[in-house]
Amino acid sequence: MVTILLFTVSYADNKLSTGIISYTPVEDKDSVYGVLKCKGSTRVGRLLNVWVPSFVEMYPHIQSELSFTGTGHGISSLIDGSANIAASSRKIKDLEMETFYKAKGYPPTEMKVSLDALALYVNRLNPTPSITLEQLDAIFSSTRRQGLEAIVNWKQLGWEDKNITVHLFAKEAGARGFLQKHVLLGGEYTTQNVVNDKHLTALSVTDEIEKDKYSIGFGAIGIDNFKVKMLPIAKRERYPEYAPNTKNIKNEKYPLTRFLYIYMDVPPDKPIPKLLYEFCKFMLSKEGQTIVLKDGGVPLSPRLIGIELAKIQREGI
Amino acid sequence: MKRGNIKLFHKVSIKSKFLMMILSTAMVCIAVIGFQGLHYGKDSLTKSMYDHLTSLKSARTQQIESYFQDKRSLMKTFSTEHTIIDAMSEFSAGFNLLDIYKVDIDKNASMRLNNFYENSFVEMLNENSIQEYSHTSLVPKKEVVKYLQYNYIVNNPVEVGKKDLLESAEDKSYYTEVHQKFHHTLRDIVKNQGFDDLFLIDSKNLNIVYSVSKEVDFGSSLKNGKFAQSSLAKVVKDVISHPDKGIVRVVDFKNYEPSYNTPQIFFAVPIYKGSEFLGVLATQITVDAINNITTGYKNWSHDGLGESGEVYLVGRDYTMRSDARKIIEQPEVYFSDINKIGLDKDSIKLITAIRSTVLNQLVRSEAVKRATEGDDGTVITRNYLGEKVLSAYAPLNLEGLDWSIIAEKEISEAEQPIKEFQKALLISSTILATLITFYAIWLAYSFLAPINSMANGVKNIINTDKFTKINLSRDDEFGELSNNIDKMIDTIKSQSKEIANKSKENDALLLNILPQSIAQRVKAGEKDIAEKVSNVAVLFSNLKGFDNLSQGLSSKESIKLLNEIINEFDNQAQKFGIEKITTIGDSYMAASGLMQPRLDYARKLAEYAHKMFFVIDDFNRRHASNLQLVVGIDSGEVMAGIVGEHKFVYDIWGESVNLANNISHQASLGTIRVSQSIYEQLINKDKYKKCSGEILTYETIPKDRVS
Repeated sequence: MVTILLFTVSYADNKLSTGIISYTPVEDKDSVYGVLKCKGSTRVGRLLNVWVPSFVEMYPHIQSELSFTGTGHGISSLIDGSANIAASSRKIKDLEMETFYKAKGYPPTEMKVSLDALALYVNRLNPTPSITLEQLDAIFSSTRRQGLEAIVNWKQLGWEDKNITVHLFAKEAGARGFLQKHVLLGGEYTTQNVVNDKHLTALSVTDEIEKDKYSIGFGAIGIDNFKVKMLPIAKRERYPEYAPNTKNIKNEKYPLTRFLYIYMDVPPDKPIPKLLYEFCKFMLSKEGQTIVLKDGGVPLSPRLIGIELAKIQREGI
Repeated sequence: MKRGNIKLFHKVSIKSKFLMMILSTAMVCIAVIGFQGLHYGKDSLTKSMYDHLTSLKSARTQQIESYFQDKRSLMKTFSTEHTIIDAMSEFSAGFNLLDIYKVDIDKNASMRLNNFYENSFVEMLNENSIQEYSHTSLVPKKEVVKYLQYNYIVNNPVEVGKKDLLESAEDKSYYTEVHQKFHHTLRDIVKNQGFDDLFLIDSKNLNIVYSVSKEVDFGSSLKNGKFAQSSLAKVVKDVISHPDKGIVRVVDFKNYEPSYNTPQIFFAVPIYKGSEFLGVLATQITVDAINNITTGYKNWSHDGLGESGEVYLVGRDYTMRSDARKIIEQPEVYFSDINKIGLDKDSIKLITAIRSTVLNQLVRSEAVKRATEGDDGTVITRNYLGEKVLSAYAPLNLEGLDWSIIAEKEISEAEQPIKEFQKALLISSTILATLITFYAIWLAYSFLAPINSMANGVKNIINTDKFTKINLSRDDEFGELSNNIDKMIDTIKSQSKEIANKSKENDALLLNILPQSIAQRVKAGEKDIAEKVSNVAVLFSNLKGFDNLSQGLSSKESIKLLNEIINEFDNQAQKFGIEKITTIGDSYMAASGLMQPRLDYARKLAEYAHKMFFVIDDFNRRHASNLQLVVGIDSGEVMAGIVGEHKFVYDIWGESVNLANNISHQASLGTIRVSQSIYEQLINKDKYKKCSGEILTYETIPKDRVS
């Protein structure tokens, strides 16, 4: 029968794949106009803050409004029309989808714009070599759906007899929902030893961990702080562990790999507005993904770009 | 049988009869066997011809059906293979990338693409088409199609027809990355699984995002591109409108422009990733694949199809779905044939250009008509070239294809073995008949040889009186017969000897009783011998005194004495040529001139009479007896003959006999008395003296006799 060749495309860690195509602005620049109203994830906002100005530069008739206060805000703004691009660091929740569908009669158009990962940050003095998703569930959850006993003391992980101090994201943050789904398996966050549960950015998390030797908290990758470190994560005990580097994220071996999304409101019977279409093309172009790379993130593969762009492909254009 | 025929039949020799018997039996046998052989041979040859066509048709049917079944299950399997699923999704992505960013080719590349269409593709396409294509209408306008065709066809260093050898173009697109990743595997699928091309078509715009062979359909959309009306587009749209997982659809042969208008078949099956409908996997097969089955890889003679037999497929539209044997083997002859039968000009042009009969050769035969109606059987009909053929037909059970299969052979060739068989039968019968004739002759000869020897042996005995034995040294019935004949010859030989002896005895006995001449006549079987003889002298003698002599003697002694006298009389009679007639007691009767006429019959008898006296005298002397003799002689006409049938005696009678008897009684003792007629013939008349009496007689005393 057919031999299935496992062919792995290897990407140079800090180079953009040659398959990603350079963006060429349309010839008729007047045909692309309007306001790019972007709201939502602070993580995605990091990128949009660069993408939007770069794009606006190309076309004389585009304005922009940018406001990033958390994923949850982005989706609700998309529904009420105060945004035409909702930035999201996680996939849209079922409840949000339902609300959107009730309001519009169709689902929002989803587009992956970058690969990303959540890292588990600890103080650089913490000797723990790696951690498993089960252990993370035992630390961060009160329901512990992965089945381990609660872990509240570093002694349980083979270190000093000190309580673990826990940092959590605020409810609006996409990371909170992502972790709840992928680490807590839909369970509840713990309240024990939680010193802060209102974090909105990775930066605020690492700032605190830097000061507390026994603290622990999640945050987006790409934080340039030598006083904290990211622990390699394994799915469970005796499984291989992966550090959150570009390679492991690109091939999705790193367990907390995620995508960054934007959601748009495009009625299915109408073609996507040229403004959004060209903006999406730009985000996923060589130029757009170079911005991701520069931000310390991981660009999408050309394959994903092709698949993602196919969703908004305008026939006959 | 009429009496005449029977006679004729009896005239014919046994050898000839025997020969005729063997030959007629053998010939009848040969004729009967030959006729039966011819009859059954012809029947069974015809039947075997039909059987052969039917079984070949069935075999090919099974092959075609399983070929399509195989292709379908391959397609079904491929549609769920990870490689295909990944390739579908990645080629789509690669294609979309190029499409969305409208990656274009430069002017020079555009020109080269244009040139390819103008100088290479359209030229060849027009050779195979009725309508005239212009390259301007065919050159793609869409950037992605131009881009892909330029990079993978025009800028491909390999010649047309082998474009699939290029693993990756020189551009650095993601598409090429994907191509490099999957092309090798997909090309192997095509090569190893007997397809001619493989396509991946996205489900959204029906773009041919990938094809192995890279013909001019590569990159184009089957929804709104140049080939949106092709059969490939039709089958893909079928799948799109009913994208049932694992359901493979097929579309019948149709001329496909990207393949230079040659007839092609396409299979198509949806590709799913989980529940997501990604696109369509399509494959292409050419006529060659079907031909390989119908022609048994051009090995007609190996299939027992001889010079004219073939298997081919026909569609519901009565045109072929596989190539005719003739266009493969003798294209020039075939082209002149279709001109002769008056096929329409367009069809002839296409057949000649494409060198295939598929879709263009009409077959309006009875066989096709019946097969199309769903029947399965054999028929003698005229084929697509008007030749009379033996044809086995059946509908094919192919999902999505309404085809029939025909296996046929020209009658003239189909009957060739029958003719050869007849010829062989005739030759062998003739040889057999000749051999049997020679054998029969030899058999008749050798079988009849002992009979001939025996017949000749017997004939020899008859002809030569020599009892030569046949002496056949054999152990069979002939030997036994011959031995018995030999024994019979021995018996006959000894019996003949005995018969000869007995005959001699009989003769002697007869001579004793009869005069020799009469005896011979009696032996010759003559009956009622009686004749009147003239000039015969008759003598009677009476012996006196014998009774006295024999007194006191036994009868044996008495007869001995009498025999002594009579025997001496007989001896003397022989000496004198006198014929003894009989004795009665001591009387003795003799004649002269009776059997053998003689002139001196009277005188001789008289002389004999004298001699009788000397005999008596001699007897008297030796026995000191006194016997007296009287003799009477007369002559004249007498009656002589055989008296009595079983105990016959020769006797004479008549007047002379009576007279001689009478005068013997009248004669004095010791005298001879003769009648006048005797007396007159005597020489020594003086010694006789006339006697008295009514009848004139003369008497004499014999000479020198002592009274």
